Amino acid sequence: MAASSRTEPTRSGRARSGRSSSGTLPGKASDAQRRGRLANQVLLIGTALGLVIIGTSLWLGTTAGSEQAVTALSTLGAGDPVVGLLVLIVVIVALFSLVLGLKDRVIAKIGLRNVSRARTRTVVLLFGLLIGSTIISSSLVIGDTVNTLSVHFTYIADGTVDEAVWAPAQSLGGLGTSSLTYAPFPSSVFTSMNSSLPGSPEVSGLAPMLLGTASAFDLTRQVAQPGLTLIGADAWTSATLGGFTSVNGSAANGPFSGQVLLNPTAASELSASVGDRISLSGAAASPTTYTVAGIVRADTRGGFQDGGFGDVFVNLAGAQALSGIPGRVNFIAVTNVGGISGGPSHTHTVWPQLNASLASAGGQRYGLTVHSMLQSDLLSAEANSASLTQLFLVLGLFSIGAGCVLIVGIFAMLAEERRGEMGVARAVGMRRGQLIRAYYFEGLAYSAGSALLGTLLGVVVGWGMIQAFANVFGGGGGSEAQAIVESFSFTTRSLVLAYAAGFLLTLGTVTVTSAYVSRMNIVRAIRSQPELVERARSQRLLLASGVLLALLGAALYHVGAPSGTDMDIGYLGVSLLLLAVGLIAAFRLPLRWTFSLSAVGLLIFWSDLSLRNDLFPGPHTGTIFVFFQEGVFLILAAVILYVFNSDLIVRALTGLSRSGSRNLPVVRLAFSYPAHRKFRSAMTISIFAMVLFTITAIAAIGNGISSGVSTSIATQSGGYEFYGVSPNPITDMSGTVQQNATLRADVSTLVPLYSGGVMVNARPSAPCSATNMCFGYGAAAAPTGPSVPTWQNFYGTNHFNFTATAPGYSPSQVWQALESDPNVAVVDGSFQSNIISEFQGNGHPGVRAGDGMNLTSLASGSTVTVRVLGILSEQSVPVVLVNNQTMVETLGYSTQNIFLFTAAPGVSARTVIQNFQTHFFAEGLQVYDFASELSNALQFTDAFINLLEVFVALGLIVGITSLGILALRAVVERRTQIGVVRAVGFRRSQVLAVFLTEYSFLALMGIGIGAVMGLVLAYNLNQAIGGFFSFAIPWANLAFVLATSYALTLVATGMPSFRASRIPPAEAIRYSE
Amino acid sequence: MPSPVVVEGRDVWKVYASEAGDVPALKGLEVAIRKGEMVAVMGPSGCGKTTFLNCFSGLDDITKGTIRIEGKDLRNLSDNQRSEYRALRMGFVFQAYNLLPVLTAQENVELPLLVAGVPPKEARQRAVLWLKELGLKGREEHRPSALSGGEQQRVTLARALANRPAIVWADEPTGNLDEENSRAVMELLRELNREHHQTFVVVTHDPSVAGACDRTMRMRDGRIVTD
Repeated sequence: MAASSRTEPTRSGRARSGRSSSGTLPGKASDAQRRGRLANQVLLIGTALGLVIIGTSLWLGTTAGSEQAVTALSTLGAGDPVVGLLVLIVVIVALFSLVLGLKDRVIAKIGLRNVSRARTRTVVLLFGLLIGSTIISSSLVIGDTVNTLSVHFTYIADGTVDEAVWAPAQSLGGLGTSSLTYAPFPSSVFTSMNSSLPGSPEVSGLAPMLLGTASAFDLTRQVAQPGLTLIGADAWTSATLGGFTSVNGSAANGPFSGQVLLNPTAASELSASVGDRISLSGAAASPTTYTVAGIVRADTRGGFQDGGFGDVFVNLAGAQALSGIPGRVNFIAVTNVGGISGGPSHTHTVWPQLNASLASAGGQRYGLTVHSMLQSDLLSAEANSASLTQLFLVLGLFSIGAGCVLIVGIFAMLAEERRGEMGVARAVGMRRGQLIRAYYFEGLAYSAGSALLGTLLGVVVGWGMIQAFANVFGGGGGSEAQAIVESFSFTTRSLVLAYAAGFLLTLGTVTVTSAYVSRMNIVRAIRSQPELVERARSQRLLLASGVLLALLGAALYHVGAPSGTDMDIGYLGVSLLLLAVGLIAAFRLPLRWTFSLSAVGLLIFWSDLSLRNDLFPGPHTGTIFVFFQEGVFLILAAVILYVFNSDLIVRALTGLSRSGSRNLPVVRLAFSYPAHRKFRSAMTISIFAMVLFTITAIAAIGNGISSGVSTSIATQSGGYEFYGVSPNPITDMSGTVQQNATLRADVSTLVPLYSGGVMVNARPSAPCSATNMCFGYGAAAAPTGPSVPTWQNFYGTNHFNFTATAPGYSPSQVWQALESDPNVAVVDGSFQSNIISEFQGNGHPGVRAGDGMNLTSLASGSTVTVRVLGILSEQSVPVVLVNNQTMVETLGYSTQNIFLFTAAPGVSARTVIQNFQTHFFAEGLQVYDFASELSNALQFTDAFINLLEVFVALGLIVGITSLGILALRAVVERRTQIGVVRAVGFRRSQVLAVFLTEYSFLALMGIGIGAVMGLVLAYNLNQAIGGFFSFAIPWANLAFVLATSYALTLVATGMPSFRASRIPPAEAIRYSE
Repeated sequence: MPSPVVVEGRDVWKVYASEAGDVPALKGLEVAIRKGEMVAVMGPSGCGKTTFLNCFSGLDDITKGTIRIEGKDLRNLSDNQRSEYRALRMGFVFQAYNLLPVLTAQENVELPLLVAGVPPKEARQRAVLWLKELGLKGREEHRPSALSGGEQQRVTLARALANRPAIVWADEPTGNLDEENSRAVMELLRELNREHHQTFVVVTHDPSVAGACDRTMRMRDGRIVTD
């Protein structure tokens, strides 16, 4: 056998560089050092910038500059205690880290140098870690912007009216059928107050006004518009409210006798121009003709109290004549010194002065009270924006949670990667504490950098959301959209809060994880062998944890169960008890059985609403965090089930591919990794599940609302197609329509209803108080008796459904009772008592069918106790339906202001609306189409739900990042194994298939768990609320979300998997980390 | 009549390119190994032994020259064809065992069989048989982390031989084993070689391992200096 060597060839192609040769060259080493320094510098700058933000906040919080240090701390975050506390903790952490770093410089250096070891990984890590800050920051930015916008509109609507004196109109309530916004009172009250206040240096002036609604008909253009806001005020008495400005920028005087000023909305609705003749109708019998003297800008005084159709300004006498109440006003506007923005700061001083003045003027006789108008409205605006911030934050909690899991996963993976070197470090004398500190410093740099990036990214996300808001709420353009876009703003407070919260969240998670991963057997770590768990010790730990959890759970259950008012605590108690059972049982029984048992228990408890209701009998309330808990525990249970049964799942899945044995090695290998690496798999599955849970739940809720609305238009409308509301009484609509051939031909049904305002006490056993909220509402009753023709008989024509009836009453019996019994009532669906009624937006307590309630007439003051026999499923018309006799004789309402119609066959909605509005123009009748009203609401809901979906989908970044990191890590970690499988015959495509199948399995498992649990939540929500919201699986939406999530997974893992498949086998086999 | 040549190399060069310049690892090797031969490749560290094994087994590309395995020119085979050829005709034994940690011993042995298209049931039976033959009965369901070094190397051997390959490439098969286990493994290789008449190419720096082979090729600085 011959073997020899020939001459060495010159440099030739197809040669591949060895991995180890380049990394050890001096030039390369110096590059690496430069890169390391650069990365350290970037991190230091990031930390410094973050601290600059905090410093700026400190400075802003202590603008006086001369305050003492203690005062400075108390005013951190401009007086906001939460921000102040967070900033204080960040400062303490910074000082602590500085001292720690100076004390142990080598360890700090090791930790920081680890940051710059792999640039790509550092970038990926930063993106993985920043999600918490991004969500917090964007939620706060949205809140800031909405606050700016609300304040903007509040200033427009309130103008310079800092305080106001008024009494509620008699028809206060949901039906709002009066032509006057507030109850009228003699002008002498104003005169008296005006003369008693000139000495107050903080009051700029008082203005008597008459506010109501009017219908207008532009005689020049022949265009009619009901529902305009009528504002009667004299030019000279209302001077303190500021002047009008024409749309062309010049000052507009008036309004003078015989003239009106219109704001742009009113002018647009009427197609009016200056000089047009306008016929105005109010409560008085005859309309009056005016000339349009000017069209005034809405961003100054012209936007005052605009109800949507526009403002029409007349002088006070004109308004009194239109309303038929000469010599009376219904509103006294008070303007403080300090201008539009400075005025509210004087309210606390002016308010008692006004009260004293009102008392001396005898205002109480007319039910008049002083209202801190601008200040209250500004507070309301702030509260609304805070609610929106809270909504976004709660929805983002799952993404933040997913981010925390990712942080744990990242550091656990880093520790695994560095296990060998950590073992060596421990072997040469490094203490465990030093190891933890090295991780701490590394985590500190990551936290500082990611919190800064996340906060800034949150501003960008917030900006994007505001643009989307402008499209949704501003109708895609126009001044409202522009106002929304221009209101984009964020405060230093928000940035500091987001940075501090994100930084502390990340650092806290990193520190806890570091303590965990630093526990190791030195020898096994050096040999890169997995840690062995001492069974006895592990069992003792399980038992101790179980007992602790059981005690905590029992205590929480004990606190939560009897109160029945705070479900969060009781539910948490039961959940912890279920987990404790598994932990304690694991002391003696196999882990699979005990943990699976706990998980199944949790799944049943959180999936079965009726079981929870049995354990905690209602009525009860809770907060939105109940649903957060539901999501967390459902996902936790599903992941526990997976972890302890993954081998069975893998075996089942592998078994499925036996028919095609060529795929078997790929499938077996692909599923073996997730089954073997339980922690990593659980981490990735949890992340995906949490994110998809939120997206699915929101999509299902949105779809449920849409579907509920679209399928229940008939239910909501009771079978009628239109409802009409008239601010002024229509004496005999039935007779008029009967005699008018055109109107009669338009409708097949016309039901008039008596209506009026009542004060509702839903808990009649106690008087109205701060703890027993009474509220103004609309009451209505249908005429009954033999004189009512069939086509006008409410009881014979309505198709309203009940969600609940009193015990012993069928729906038909409820209607029969209402028709004949003066002491019963039927209420709309918003009265339904449920656990989320607090934040459902009803604004009033719920009742149960069979309960009693007191109704006090706002007109006569008389009170009647009625028993609620039925709760309607409709919520579109807020109303308490009472008996005809009760309404007319007891409550004192004998005018018909509300009308329900059904169009005759072949007659269009447009025709009905036009003909009826035109005929009853003088009374200001406005006719609404149920279908289009609900459809508008539906469009709005859809758009808003889509926005929320987009927002929570941000969490997908976490999921994608986690899989990306997992894939990148796997390429390094499994390099040798890739070489081995290639050696035994795997093709490149098979290696690629192994990786993609593995990540697909993990992603789809997480996506599946999240989607199913999201649907469970939506279903439970439907069971809890009912009414408008029906349970409907959003198949199309779900398919899109799932497909997109999966596609993004493939994008994230595709490149690392492809790289893995391209590794030359020889190079892979000789690789060692 | 001599056995046919199964491994043939002519003017085989392997040059690694680096920023510091080209680094030749194999310098014009001429090699011929016959069927059923058990050949040891010896030499000091860095002489090119492992590169020799990687290139001749088709795990790595060569820079110049020709390698024929059972008459097939490896350079003319696509990556997929080479993978298939390895699956059907070659077995590998590595110094670090290189078992897949997520698979049991039996699954590790089954893997090349399944890749080669052996039906799962048959693959299982053959894996169990091989493990039994190599003294690992009762250890089939153990993962590599639960096996000793000697046991892991025997699983590696079972994996390499389960498919009855024409050529078995072994890279320092006893490098991580003590003397007793080394001897046992080599006796096993020898026995299998005789019994199944397979070709073994064993890269080693251990003279006792080389002594157990039919023939020894010594390498130095990328060349075969004695054969």
